[in-house]
Amino acid sequence: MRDDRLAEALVEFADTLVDDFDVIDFLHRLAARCVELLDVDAVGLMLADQYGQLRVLAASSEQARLMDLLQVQTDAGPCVLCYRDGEAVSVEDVALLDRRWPAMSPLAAELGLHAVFALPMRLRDEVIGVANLFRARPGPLAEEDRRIGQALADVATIGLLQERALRRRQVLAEQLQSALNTRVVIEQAKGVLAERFRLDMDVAFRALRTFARSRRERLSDVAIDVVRGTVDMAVMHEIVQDVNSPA
Amino acid sequence: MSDLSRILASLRETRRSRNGICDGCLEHLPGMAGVGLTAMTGSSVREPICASDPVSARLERLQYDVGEGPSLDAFDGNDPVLAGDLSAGAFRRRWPVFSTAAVEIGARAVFAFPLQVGAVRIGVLETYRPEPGPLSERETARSLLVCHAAIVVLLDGQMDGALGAGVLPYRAEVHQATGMIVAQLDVSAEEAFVRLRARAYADNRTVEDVARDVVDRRVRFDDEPVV
Repeated sequence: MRDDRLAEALVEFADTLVDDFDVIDFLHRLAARCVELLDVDAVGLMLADQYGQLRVLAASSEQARLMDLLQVQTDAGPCVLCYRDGEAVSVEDVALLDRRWPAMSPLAAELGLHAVFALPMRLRDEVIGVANLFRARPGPLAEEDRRIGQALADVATIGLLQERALRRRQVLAEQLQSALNTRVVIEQAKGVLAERFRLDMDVAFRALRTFARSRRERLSDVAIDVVRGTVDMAVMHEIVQDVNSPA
Repeated sequence: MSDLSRILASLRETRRSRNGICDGCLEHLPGMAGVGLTAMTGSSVREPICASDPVSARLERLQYDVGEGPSLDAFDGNDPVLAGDLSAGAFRRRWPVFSTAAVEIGARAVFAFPLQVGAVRIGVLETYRPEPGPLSERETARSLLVCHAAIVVLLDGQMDGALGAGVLPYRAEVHQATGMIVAQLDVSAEEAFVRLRARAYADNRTVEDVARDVVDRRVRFDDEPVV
């Protein structure tokens, strides 16, 4: 069962050469798949800019506190070590982080996340970012989960590098800059929807994604349309009601 | 001192000079012959901010006059436009009038970068070289960093420098709050962003503090009662 879903996911993330490729959407799907396939509760993905600074690009949930937890880790935390050394870093109990990374442990505790695992997004010698896995239960990550998580990270890395190289002939800095700007547009669009329909930010994000999917449009294009006021708000309203209603 | 803070320092230093921050930008773009900055809020609303030299100034002016060119495309497409050789067929076809005129005034290669914070569009930074040749990966990365610094300085310029240190990248709440203000006031993202920063300035608070209040629904920008 898991093997099937894993195989599907590997194929999905190898395929970046599609017309409507969108880095943020790609990374968001990767985060969601990790939560689905691995024994973890939240996932955040970061890519490094040309100066080696990690930047948060996607998370399994757009809940504000999770984004904050990811954000504080871009300066200091397991993922910085992981990025620097290109090796997985495992923190089995976040309470032990208190002294080493004081900004991180209270936020993690507040979210009920007690174990953190950072896996490098790496192709041979090039480390382009980090997949951050969080789990509510303390303790080690099962070896099989680590291998599957790493396989997903590896395939996604190859996908991103090939998209950069082949399709757009963009250099790293450009691809990342454009992705970071998309990230900002998405935040702005979440704000518009959150205000207009009185949603929390995670629901606003899900509505954006659902809308983009149903129309087969890129997430970044839908986000821009929302901010510019050119999106069909009646359709968006229906989607919001669907997304917002308890399953 | 990081690269970004070094560039920010130069830009702030050159702010009151004759060519404004364009001199500071040029200092950090070795290999470029000149830099021009244009503020834009729409394709038809443009205002030159500064230029490091007469050629850069003419390039900006030219695009305004003929209604085509890399700056306009970079602004409309939200992506850098890198024209390594304006005499090449593809660019001549793309901008028939501009390409010929630009080469005549001494700009064979022109590179335009949009200055934007998400959907908030501020303007375009354009550089040129008299010789043809692509922008290297390193030069592209450099240019993007200079753009980042230019955005910071232009934004605090609107507040007369009162916002202090480099504020980008803002936290997510700032962008979310901008979006919420867009919906509250039914204004453009540009205006919402200015209002947010103006409120912070007026209240002597950081933009991030005010943004958090907006996101937590403790502060609204409209006078309508909450429905």
